[in-house]
Amino acid sequence: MKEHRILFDGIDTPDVDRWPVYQSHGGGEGLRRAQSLSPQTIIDEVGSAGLRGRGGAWRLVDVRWRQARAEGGAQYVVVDLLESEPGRFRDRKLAERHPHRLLEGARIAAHAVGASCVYVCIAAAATRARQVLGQAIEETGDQAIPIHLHPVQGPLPLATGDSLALEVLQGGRAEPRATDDVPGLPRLFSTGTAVVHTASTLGYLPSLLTTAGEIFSGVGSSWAPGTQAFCVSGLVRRPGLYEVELGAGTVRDLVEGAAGGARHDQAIKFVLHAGYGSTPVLRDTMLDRELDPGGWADPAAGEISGAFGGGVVLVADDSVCAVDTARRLAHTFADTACGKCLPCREGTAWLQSALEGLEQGTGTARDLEWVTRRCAHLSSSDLSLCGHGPMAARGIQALLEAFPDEFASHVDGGCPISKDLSMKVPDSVHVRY
Amino acid sequence: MKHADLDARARALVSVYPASTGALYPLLDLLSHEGDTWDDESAHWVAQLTGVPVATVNGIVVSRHQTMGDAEVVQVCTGLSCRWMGADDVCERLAAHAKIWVVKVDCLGACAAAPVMTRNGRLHDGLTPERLEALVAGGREQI
Repeated sequence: MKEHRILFDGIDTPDVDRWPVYQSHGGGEGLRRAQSLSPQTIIDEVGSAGLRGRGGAWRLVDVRWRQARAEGGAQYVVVDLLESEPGRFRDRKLAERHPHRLLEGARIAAHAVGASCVYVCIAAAATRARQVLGQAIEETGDQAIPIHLHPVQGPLPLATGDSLALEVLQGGRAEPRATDDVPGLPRLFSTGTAVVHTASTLGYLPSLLTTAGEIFSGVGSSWAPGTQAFCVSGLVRRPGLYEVELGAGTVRDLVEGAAGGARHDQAIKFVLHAGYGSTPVLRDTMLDRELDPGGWADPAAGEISGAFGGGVVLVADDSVCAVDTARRLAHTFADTACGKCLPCREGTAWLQSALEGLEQGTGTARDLEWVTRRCAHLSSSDLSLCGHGPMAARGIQALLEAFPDEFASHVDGGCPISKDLSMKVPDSVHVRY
Repeated sequence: MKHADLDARARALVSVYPASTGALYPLLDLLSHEGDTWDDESAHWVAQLTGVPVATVNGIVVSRHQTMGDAEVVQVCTGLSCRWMGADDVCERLAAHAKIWVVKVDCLGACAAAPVMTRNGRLHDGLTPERLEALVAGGREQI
């Protein structure tokens, strides 16, 4: 499977993180052209290109921008660079290696929606990305649209939508709001409204504006034009960041072709194609599914109609235990739950405890049944303000459905799989960017 | 009373937000980089600058920071990719050393180069037994 770089185009250019180098390779052209166009024209071009958000929800960008314009404009653009989902490192790498592309995209978005200010919410632990972005902001000097970095200490909940960035921007606890599904733009600082975008979504805008959308022409699927940069990690020969054309290959092409497949003497056992919340869990026989988020969004796709996700792909081989993986998922979700909604706060901790029992050999058939029922209960999106708890339940449910015999074999006896927990070295790491 | 330079930088941070509450997380970040001790004075100073109640400030700090006396705090990623690539092995080897406090975290954002750990915000990836031993043997400055 060949790489097709749009988001990370020019990443191999030495010192492209410096403004003069970026500029000498065509950087800044998208913003210049955007400033010569009316906001409506920009929105139309982005709409014609079919750009969708790359965070995982795959919403059309122009729809949100039209909404902003209809409401008289948004005062702020918020860049979500928190990447609280384990396995995701794309936006951080974009910020570290191609900061001016990200900043240019943010300014284009601000111009389109009428914003006067951009805030970049970034994990405080992403020290390199913060340093490079800070330097890039200084390099571009005073601009009509200022950009401010907003470092946030973690750990943070995993699936909170746009509300997490908005809450921490206002000095609130890292908890979701009850207003995520309320129509209209979210409010920020009580005086204004904001549009929130994942960093990599904005990273496409310079190329789109420079080419008047042509760069997406004929690239990607009809539902989701363009590319996606997949973060592939786990037990493969060449983990790394792969930007590929959407709809031009399968999950198997990505993990067995590009990433080299399982390590020597091992076979792929399953792939979490959408990170910790993958539904369904893809067993080896299910890897021939197109990398097209449109197909996954289709309920008629049957057993594979789950979420496509935001580009986090975790690959497990035969040495990995499905119950141990579920236990680890539950631990992460319990550890990062904000505690606001009781079903999520208590439910994730209970799941962790029950799965630990199964893994250690003290679990019973009743415990397994209890885990199944608790997941069904917690997966209801009506019980929590954000997607954190439901994502935990669905991820564990998907493992239960994919490996029922393996879960059953843990009852009254513990894990029958001989796990290899020693340090391992892949053949290579593909493009650390 | 925080010294004048820190106070000026803090007020500059507050000024970039339309509401002072917005500066809460950046102020906590500023203090952590200054190596300042978190105490009542700090909490009240941040609360006064941001308008966030002291209780909320303390609540956020307690949930986000950990202090471990004079032990070296090393964060080891135990997310799925790192776990599969040997994070438990890393933890066990580090735990054998006194004066190293191992904190298991959920993801350090370097999954392709697993297993990984950080010390003082500096990332060490692609860990192997040999590399880890060399880092430990190098002492506090090397880890």
